[in-house]
Order: sequence, then C-alpha cells, then structure tokens
Amino acid sequence: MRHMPEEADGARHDVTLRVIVADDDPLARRVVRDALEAGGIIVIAEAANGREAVELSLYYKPDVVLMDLVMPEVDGIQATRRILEREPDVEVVILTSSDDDEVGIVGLRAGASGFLNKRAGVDALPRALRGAVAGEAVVSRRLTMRLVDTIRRTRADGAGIRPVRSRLTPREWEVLDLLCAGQSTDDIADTLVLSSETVRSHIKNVLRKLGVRSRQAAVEEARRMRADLALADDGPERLEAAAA
Amino acid sequence: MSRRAVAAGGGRPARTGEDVLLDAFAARAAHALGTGLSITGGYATLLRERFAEPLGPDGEGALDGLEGGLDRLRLFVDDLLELTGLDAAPLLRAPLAAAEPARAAAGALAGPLTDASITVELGTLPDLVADPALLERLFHHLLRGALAAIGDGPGRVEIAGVRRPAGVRIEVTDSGPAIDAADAAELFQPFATPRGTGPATGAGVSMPIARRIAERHGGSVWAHTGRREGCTIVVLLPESSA
Repeated sequence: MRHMPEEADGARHDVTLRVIVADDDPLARRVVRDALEAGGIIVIAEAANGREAVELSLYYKPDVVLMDLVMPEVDGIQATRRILEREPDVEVVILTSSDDDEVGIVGLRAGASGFLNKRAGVDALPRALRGAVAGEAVVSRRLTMRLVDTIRRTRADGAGIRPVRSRLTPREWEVLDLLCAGQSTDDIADTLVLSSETVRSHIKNVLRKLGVRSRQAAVEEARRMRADLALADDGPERLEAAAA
Repeated sequence: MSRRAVAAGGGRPARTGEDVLLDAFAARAAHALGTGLSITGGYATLLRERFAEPLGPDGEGALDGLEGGLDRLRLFVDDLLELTGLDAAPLLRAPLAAAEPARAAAGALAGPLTDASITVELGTLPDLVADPALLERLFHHLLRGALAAIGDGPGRVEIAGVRRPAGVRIEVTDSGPAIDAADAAELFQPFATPRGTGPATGAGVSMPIARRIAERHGGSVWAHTGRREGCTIVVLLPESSA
C-alpha cells in the first residue's frame, strides 16, 4: 500500500499522510489542520470550495481529501465524484454536521471511504484518516447496520451489485449483468434496445477492461468482484471494525 | 426629475444584534438546505448514471427538470453561504487592475448573459489595491443584479471606473427598469426584494453582498435613482484602500 511501503526485510513503516482539507469556513479549516498536524499528518493544501478541492486533488494527488459536504460552487458529493473519476486511488472522507444516514449513503455511492460527523471532535480525525488509507470504511455504527441490512437483502448471486470505482462504464455493467444472466448478444441487444454490433463492442470493452479473454471468464470475474464487494465472510466485521 | 443617490455602507458600520441573528439563521438554513441538496443531487446523478435507460426519454426529460431545479437551489444556497461567510476570511490587499476581475466575472457569467442577449461593455477602469477574489465577487454580484433586473433582455451593462480624490469610483449601469428612491434604500439590505426574478437571482442577495464587500474595503455602494430607465450602481473604494 502506498502509505505503508514494504521494505526489503519485510518490515513496514508509516509514511506521513498527505491530506487536503476542503471546507468553505476558514476557521474550520484551521481547526482541522491543527488537529491533523498534531496527529502527525501533513496538510498539503486547503480548498475553500468543491471546485478548488477537485483542482488541488488532481494536482497534488493526496492520500486523503477531508471534504466538507456543504460548500459553494461544487458540493462535497459532486467534488468526490469528480476527484475519483480522475484519481481513483485518492481516499475521500466527507465531513458533515448532519446525522442523516442518507449523506453517508450518497457519499459512499459517490466513492467516498466514509463520512465523519463534525460533532465527533477533531481529535478523532488522524486515526480515522489513517483507517481510510488502510482500507477501512469510515462510517458510523448506525450506517454500518444499514449497510449490513442491505447486504442481507442482496440476492445470493450478488446480481446488480457494482463497485463504485470501476473502469467499466454503467452501460458496460448493464451488458455484463445481462451476460451474467445468460443472455446472448442478440438478447442483450433486444433488452437494451441497441444494435448487436454495439453490444459486441461493449462486450469487447468489458473483456479488455477486466483482462479476460472470454465471456464466461468475464462472468466469473464479475461474480468474483461481487463476492469481494458484498458476500465476503469478513464484510460486516470489517465494516464494524472500521466504525469502532 | 432630479437624480438622487441612496447610499449604503461608508466605512464598516457595527453590525446590529439583528444582523448577527439574521446571519446565523441564514447560515443554518444554507447548511440544512445544502445537505438536502447534496443528497438529492447525489441520487439524481445516480439515476442519470445507472437508470437512464429504463427511464426512457420522458424519464430523462423529468430528470433534466429535476437537475435544473437543483441548479437553481444550488445558486440560492451558494448565495447564502457567501453572504454569511464574507467576514470569515482575512482581507487581502494587493495592487491590481480593476479590469481583470471585471473581465473574469463577466466571463464566468457569459452563459446566462448570452442567453439573455445582454452585452457587457467594459470601459476604462483604474488600478487599485483590493482583495482580488472579493473584487471579482463584487463585479459578479453587480452583474448578477443587472441580469436579474434586465430579465429576458435584450439589454446592456456598462462597467466603468475613475480615480477620484475620495477613492476609486466604479459604476455599473444596466438597461433594466429604473429604480425609485424608496426601493433603492432597501436594495442593499439583507433579504430585501431584488430588482428582478430571473434564474440568476439566486437568493436575491447580490446587492447586500456587494455592499458587504465594499464595506470590507472601507467603502460604500449606492444606487442612482430618478432616471426614466436603467440604473447605475456606484461603488466607492476609498483611497486608503487604493
């Protein structure tokens, strides 16, 4: 992992995280910056709105962007989406004064690693950001339970589940979903009201992006990805550990 | 009818308790609305990305309408955030040509100005010392005020400025409806009725924002009244800040 490079002897050591703080309130940025720096984290830039957050993130490629939700010009959700479209390795943690689970759901859908409530206190920030970079979801216990419930309601084969950060376009996922359902090229063309030629082109792109050579291999790869996303045995525990 | 001027600002007056309460309420409203807007916008994007196909053309049309409404709400929230956050950042003072932020502001509003068939004529503007970002916002809101006042257009906005003993005087004249003295006195008050109600109106606080930016520079802003048509907003930024 980027933040914990493995040395020749196999030992790992922490590398100081590089963080961008995006908040339209300069006082809030100052408080957050002080807390992060006290926790050994470097704040490499500050953004006063979502547009600046996107520009600075694409330029500096930070480890984490700590993103306020409500900002002028471009809000935190839109900014998160735009950053991750271009820099999928950046982790985004949304900071909000809202307790609304929907903020968390929409944030996660946009690709954020989680969200923190401003009232939780800034002392928790360094640990939370390190957790995000270590692959943990930064979510509340209540939201964790909602996510677990969602997983419980998911079909056993995971159909319809897609990773937020994916090289496949939404259309390519639709085609892949139908391939997984056993449809032929012509069936897919009928279902999506496309020409067979267009469907073949989508399938070709899917195979290339998944690094496989056959439709069956693409189906198996989709199932593997979905298992990782939703059906892995350690899924709920991993989420709960992150929320602790 | 004689030309009169109604002024607002003139230094940085102490804010009343009512002003502070109003700001606090506006800030809370902006964050509550902004949170709802982020959630709604996030789901709208999700619909567009993942479900556009089953929605079909009619559904996509409805989604266009939803996103158009969200854009208007976003402008409203952005205005409130800007109004209530104006005093939060320290004031920078840098020498600059006033034409630069004026040009940048007009460029950023090129879309709505073109849509409304409004031309912006940039006259001579002097150099001054001011906060570059705030000065651009000043021109932005003066142009937004003109846009709202002119409405569907066609129309015209002239921006000009001159150095005077009292400071740098900037005038923004639009071809919208004239304004009487009573309305002009209210124009710069927070949440007063704006001169127009187009899509660019936002929260209708462009003139109060312009006033606060002028006041942060120790200046003032006023509207010329008594004309048959059109309106000139004058901003005076004192020499001490120039």
